[in-house]
Amino acid sequence: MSAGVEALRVPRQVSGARPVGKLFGIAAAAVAVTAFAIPALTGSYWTYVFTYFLVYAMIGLSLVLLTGYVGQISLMGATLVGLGAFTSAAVEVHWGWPFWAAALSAGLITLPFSLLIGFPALRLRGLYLAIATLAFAKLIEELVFKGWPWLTGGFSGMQVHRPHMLIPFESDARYFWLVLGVFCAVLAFTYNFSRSRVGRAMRATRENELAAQAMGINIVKYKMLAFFLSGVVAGLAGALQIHLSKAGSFEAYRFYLSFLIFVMVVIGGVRSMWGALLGGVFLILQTELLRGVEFLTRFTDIAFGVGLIWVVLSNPEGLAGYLRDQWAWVKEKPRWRALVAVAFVAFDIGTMWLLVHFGGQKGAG
Amino acid sequence: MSRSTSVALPAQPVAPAQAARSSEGDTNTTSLFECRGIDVSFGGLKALSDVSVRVDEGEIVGMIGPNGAGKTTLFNVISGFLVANSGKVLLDGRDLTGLLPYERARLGLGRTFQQALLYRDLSVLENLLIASHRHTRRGLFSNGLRLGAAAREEREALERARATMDVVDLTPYWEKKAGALSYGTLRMLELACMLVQAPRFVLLDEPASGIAQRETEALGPLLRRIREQMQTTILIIEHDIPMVSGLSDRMYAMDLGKVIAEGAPAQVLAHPEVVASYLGRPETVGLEESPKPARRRPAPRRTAGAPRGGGSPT
Amino acid sequence: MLYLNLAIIGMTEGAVYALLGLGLILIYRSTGVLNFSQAAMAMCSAYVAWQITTSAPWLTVWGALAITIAFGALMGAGLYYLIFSRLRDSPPVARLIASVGVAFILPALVRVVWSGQSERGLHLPFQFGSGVVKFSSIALQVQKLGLIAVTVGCGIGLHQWMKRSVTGTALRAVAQNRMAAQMAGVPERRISAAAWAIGGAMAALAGALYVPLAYLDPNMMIPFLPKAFAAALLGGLVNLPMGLVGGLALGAVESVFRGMHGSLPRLAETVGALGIVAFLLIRIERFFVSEHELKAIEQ
Repeated sequence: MSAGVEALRVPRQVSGARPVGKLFGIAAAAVAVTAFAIPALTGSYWTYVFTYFLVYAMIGLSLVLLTGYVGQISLMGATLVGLGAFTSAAVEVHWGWPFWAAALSAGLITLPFSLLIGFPALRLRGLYLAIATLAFAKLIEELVFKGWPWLTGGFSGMQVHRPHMLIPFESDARYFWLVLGVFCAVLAFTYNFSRSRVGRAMRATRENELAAQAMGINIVKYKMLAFFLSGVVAGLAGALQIHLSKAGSFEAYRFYLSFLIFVMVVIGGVRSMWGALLGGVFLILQTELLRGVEFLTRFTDIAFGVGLIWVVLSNPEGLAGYLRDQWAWVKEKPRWRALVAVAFVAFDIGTMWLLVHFGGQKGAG
Repeated sequence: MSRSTSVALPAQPVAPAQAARSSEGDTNTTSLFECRGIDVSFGGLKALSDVSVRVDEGEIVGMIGPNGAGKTTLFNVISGFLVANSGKVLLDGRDLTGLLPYERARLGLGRTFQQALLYRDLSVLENLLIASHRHTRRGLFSNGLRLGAAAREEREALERARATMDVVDLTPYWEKKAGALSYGTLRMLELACMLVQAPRFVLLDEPASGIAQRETEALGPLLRRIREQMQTTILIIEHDIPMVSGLSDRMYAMDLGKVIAEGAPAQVLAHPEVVASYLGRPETVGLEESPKPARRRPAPRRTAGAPRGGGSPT
Repeated sequence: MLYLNLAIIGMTEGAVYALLGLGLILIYRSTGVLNFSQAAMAMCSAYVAWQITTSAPWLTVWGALAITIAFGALMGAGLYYLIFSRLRDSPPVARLIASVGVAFILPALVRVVWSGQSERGLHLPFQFGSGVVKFSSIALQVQKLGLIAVTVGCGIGLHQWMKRSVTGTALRAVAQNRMAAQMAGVPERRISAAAWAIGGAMAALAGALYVPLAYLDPNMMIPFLPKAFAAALLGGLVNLPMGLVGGLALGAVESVFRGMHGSLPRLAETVGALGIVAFLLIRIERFFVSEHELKAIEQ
C-alpha cells in the first residue's frame, strides 16, 4: 500500500527545490522589485556598492560551478577574472570593439586556460589540485599579466569607459541594470541546468565518481564542462568588473582575491548558487559596515577566518546549508512559513527605506 | 500479462537501442534470455562449466546453490562485468558478447545496484533520477535555456521516478538522503534504481540477504507486483529457500560451477544432488551408519546429604 | 663560479623555504592537513621573537630563539587541539579550508596586537659568527652558511627522528592506519598534536631566522608559501629529505636566474610554480609512499 503521491507533494522540480507557495511568490516578487528599483531609490554610492555585490556574486558563482558542483577545488579564480577583465579592456582599447563583443571575448578567452588546468585536474586528487591551481595562477600572473603589457597595461593598468551599446550605460544606475540583467541571465541558466540531468550528473561525479562512471556518466565530459562554464562566468564577471571600476591593473587580481572569493563562497555555501549570493552579501556587509568604523577594519580578516572555521566545523554547506536546514524545519509548519515570508517582505521594505533615507550620503551610517 | 492501470510507465527507456530480434528458429524462440555453454576459469580453477540457463518472458526463475557454486560469477558474466572463456549470452535473441555493462543496461538488462553505486548524500529521488541518466539525452544548453524538449524530458524522468517509487513503496522517503535509510529501505532503493530504467530482464542477487524477516515476507509479493506492473522478467539468486521456491515459476540449482537441476521448484528441491550439495552426503560428513540411541547408565549412588534432583533413577 | 656563488647565496632563502616545507610535510603526512597557514605561523613567531628581544634584551640570543621555538610549538599544538583535531573525520577539503581560515586570522590578530609596528628586525642577531669563509673564489658569509647548516641539520634530524624514535614511528603508524594505531594503544591525538608542535616549531625557526633579513610585516611570509609548497612537493608532500633538498634547490635556482641577463630574472618566480606543476603531474608522491598510505593520509 503506498501513500498517495499527491499528499506528499513531490515537487515538480527536484534537487532541493521547495514548493513555492503563494506567500513566497509575493516575497520573491517584492525582492525583485526592490532590486530593480535600487538605482532609483538611492544615491550613486550605494548603487555602485550593489553593482559591486552583483559582480562578486557572479565571481562566486563561477567558483560554485567548479568547486561546488563537481568538487574541483580551484584557487585561481581571480586569475580567470583578471584574464577576462584585461581581455575586454584590451580589445576595446586597442581594437575598438563594442562592449558586447568585448564581454563575449572575455568569457571565451578563459576556455583555453580552463582546458589547460582541466586536464591535469582529472589526474589530481583534491588537495593536490588546489596547489596546482595556485601554481597555475602564479604562472599566468608572471608570464601573462606581468609579461604582456599589451593585454594588461603593465604596472599602470588599463582604463576603460562604461559601455555604449545603442544607449549609453555610463551612469551608475544604467550600468547597475546592465549588470543586473546579465547576472539574472546567468543565474537563471544555472538554476535551470543544475536541476536537470546535467546538474545531477555533475553532482553524481562529485559524490561518488566510481558509481557515476559505472552508471555510464562520462565524468571527464562533466568535469570539463564545469571547468569551461566556471571559466566563462569568471571571465564575464571580470569584464563587468573592470567596466564598473573603469580601471584595473594586475595588482588587483592576485592570490588574495582568489582566496577572498574562496572564503566568500565557502561561507556562503559552496554547493549552492544561493551560496554565492549569500557569500557576496557577507563580503559586502563586512567591508561596508566595517569600513565606517575605523577600529573594526582589522577585524574583517578575523571575521573571514572565523567564518571559514565555523563552516568547516558545523555546517559544511555554509550559510546556504544552514538556512536550508532551518527551512526544512520551517516548511512543515504553515504558521512559521507565513512568518518567514512576512519577515522577508518586512526586511525588504526596511532595506528600501534605509536606502532611500540614507543612501544619498556616502558611507555607512 | 495485463497492465495495472494505476501506474503509467513507459515500457522502454527513452532512447534505447532496440534489441535486434534473432531470426533463428532452431532454439526456443520465446525465451527472452538465454545463456549457453558458459565456461569461466580463473587460472586453474574452473568457476563455471558449460552453464546454460533459459528464462522465458514473464517468468520468475530462481537460482539456488551453496556458496561458491558460481551463481554470482554467472551473474557477473551475464551483466558484462566478467568475460567468459566460452559460451554466449543472448538477450531477446541478441548476442551480448563484447558489450559493456551499461550498454547491456541500455538494451534492457537490469542488475541490482550494489550499495557502492548509491549516493549517500543525495536524496532517494535524486538517486533515482541519476540512475536514469543514460535514458535521457538533453545537454547543457537545452537544459540551461530550458527548451521545450529538455523540459519535457525532465517531466518524463520525474514521472518515471515517481512511478518506480510507488511500486517499491519508497515514496514516503523521497526526500531522505540515501545514507540515512535503514538497511532494508536501502535495498529497496537499489531495486528501484534498477527498475527506473525499465529493464525487461532483471538479475537479482540475493535481495533478501541481511533484511529482516518481516521485510523478506513482503519481498515475494513485491517482486510479483514488479513483474506484473512493469512487465519485467526476473532471474533471482536466493538463499532463502522457502521464499524463492514460493516465488519462482521455475528453478535452477547449481553446485561447483555446474547446473545440477532444473525444473519446477518442488522437483528441484527434492532432487538428491541438490540436497547433497547443501547438506552433504552421509559418507562425506562422517556418519557411517545411523546413530544408535544412547543407553542410559544408572546414576551413581549418592552419599547422604546430597540433594535429590529429579531424574536419578533408583 | 659566479653561478655557484649565486646558488649558495640563494640557498639562504632556500633554507627558509625548506624549513617551511619540512613543517608542511610533517603536518600533511601525519594529519592530512595541507597547512596554508604555515607561513602565517612563521610570521607570528617572528613577531614574538622580535617582541622578546625588544622587551627582554637581557636574554641571550639562544634563549630568545628557544622561547620563540617553544612558542611556535605551542601554537602548533594549540591549533591542532582547537581546530584540526575535530576535523579528523572530515573530508580533506575541509581541513584545507580550516587552515585557510587560520591563515586569515593570524595576520589580523598580529595586526591587532602589534598595531602598526613595522621594523627591521635588527634586534635579532642570530649570529653564527661574523666574517666570511673562502673556498677558492667563493666567499660565503658565515651567517648565511650557518642558516643553511641549521636547516640541513633540522631536515636530517627530523627524518631520522621520524624513522627511529618511538614518537616518530607512532606518527607514521597513525598516518597509515589511524584505527589500528589507536587499538594498539597509540595516543593518537597527542601524537598528532606533537606533529603539529614540531611543524609549528619549524615555522617559528623559519620566521625567527628570516626576520633579521627583512622588515617585520604581517604579510611578510606570504610570498614564501607557494615556494614552501614547491619544496614540499619535491618530496611529494610526504618525504622529508626531498623536501629539504627541494627548498634549498629552489632557492639556489631562483638566485641563479636572478643573476642572469636579459629577461631571465623575471622567470625566477616561475620556477617554483613550474616545479609544482611538474611534480604534481608526474605524481611524484608515488615514489615515496605506497598508494595505501596516500589514501590513508587523505582520510
